[in-house]
Amino acid sequence: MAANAKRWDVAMLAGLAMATFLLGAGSASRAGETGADAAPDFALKAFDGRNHRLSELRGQVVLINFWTSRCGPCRAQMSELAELHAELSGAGVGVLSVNFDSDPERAREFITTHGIAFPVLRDDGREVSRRYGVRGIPRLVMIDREGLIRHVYNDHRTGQTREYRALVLDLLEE
Amino acid sequence: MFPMKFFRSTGARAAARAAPRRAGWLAMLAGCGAVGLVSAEEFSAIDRDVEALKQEVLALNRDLFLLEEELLFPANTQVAVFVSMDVGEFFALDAVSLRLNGREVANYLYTEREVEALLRGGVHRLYMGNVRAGEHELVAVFTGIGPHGREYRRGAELSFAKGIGPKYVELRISDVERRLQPEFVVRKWE
Repeated sequence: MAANAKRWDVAMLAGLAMATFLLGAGSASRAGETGADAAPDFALKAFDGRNHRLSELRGQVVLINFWTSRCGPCRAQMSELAELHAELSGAGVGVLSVNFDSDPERAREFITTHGIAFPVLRDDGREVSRRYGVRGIPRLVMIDREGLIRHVYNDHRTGQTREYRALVLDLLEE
Repeated sequence: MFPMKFFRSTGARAAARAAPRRAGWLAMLAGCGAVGLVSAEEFSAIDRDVEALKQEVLALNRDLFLLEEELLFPANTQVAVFVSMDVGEFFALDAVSLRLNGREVANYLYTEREVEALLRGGVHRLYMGNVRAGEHELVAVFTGIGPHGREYRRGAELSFAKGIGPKYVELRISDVERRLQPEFVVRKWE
């Protein structure tokens, strides 16, 4: 009897392990279908002098936008992201903004004027932009709690933040 | 927590993250199975087994990490450079750049959390690589905010002979009270 119970436990465990393996594989293939690559980690200095590392936001849904102050859609996106950040930062949403203005003072002025509260980082060597495949701006990358790139936008229309918000809420619920 | 985070490679970290997730699935499946199929005692036994399995996965992950390191950095060529910090009253660390035999091998920006971890006694492995046996030169450049809130940049160098065993080098930042200045020391671990 005891032997049977033991056998049942072992069989159950083996089944569970197999199911777990298959579920894990399923999750990986889903990630592959949506193009969910791991977001490359980076550390950059912000305009306020602090250093920020992406991996320190692991566990949060993270939005990274790449921009310059000379680009109109970028400025619109920054303003809308500021609103989104104000609404959702307490819910586990982080925003990192990567700027590569040739004149950092222009970006600094924009940040001050618009009261941008999230870190705006300088990517002077454009190394991070290259790693994220930035060829045009604005570019917005959404990263889930596991550090996977889930959505990428290569443009911005006014009011598009509603769409961002819905996707971010979905990612928060996962 | 800090040293583990600092010491693991990206791949190992990913595996480490996957392990608890899978264990979570196991627990959930065990929970589902328990609803109608097994008694409370049996469930408890399964729970223990699942926990043991989880521990085994973690141990396996650790072994894989060590094996990976041994393969990538064999002892006869291995050189590792660590950063540590003491007090930090006269120096707020911003970045460390490392040159080995004239070639930049690491350039690391430290966040506030990382600096705090260093001040709490954490040690950061800044670089791990391979060099041939013989004489080598290491130059570390520290940047940050020094006494009186001024930008501070200081270099420290070390010449060392690489033998058949692994070579460990520590870059230590400490305060010199009598001079009210930070001190940057490069030393070999024997």
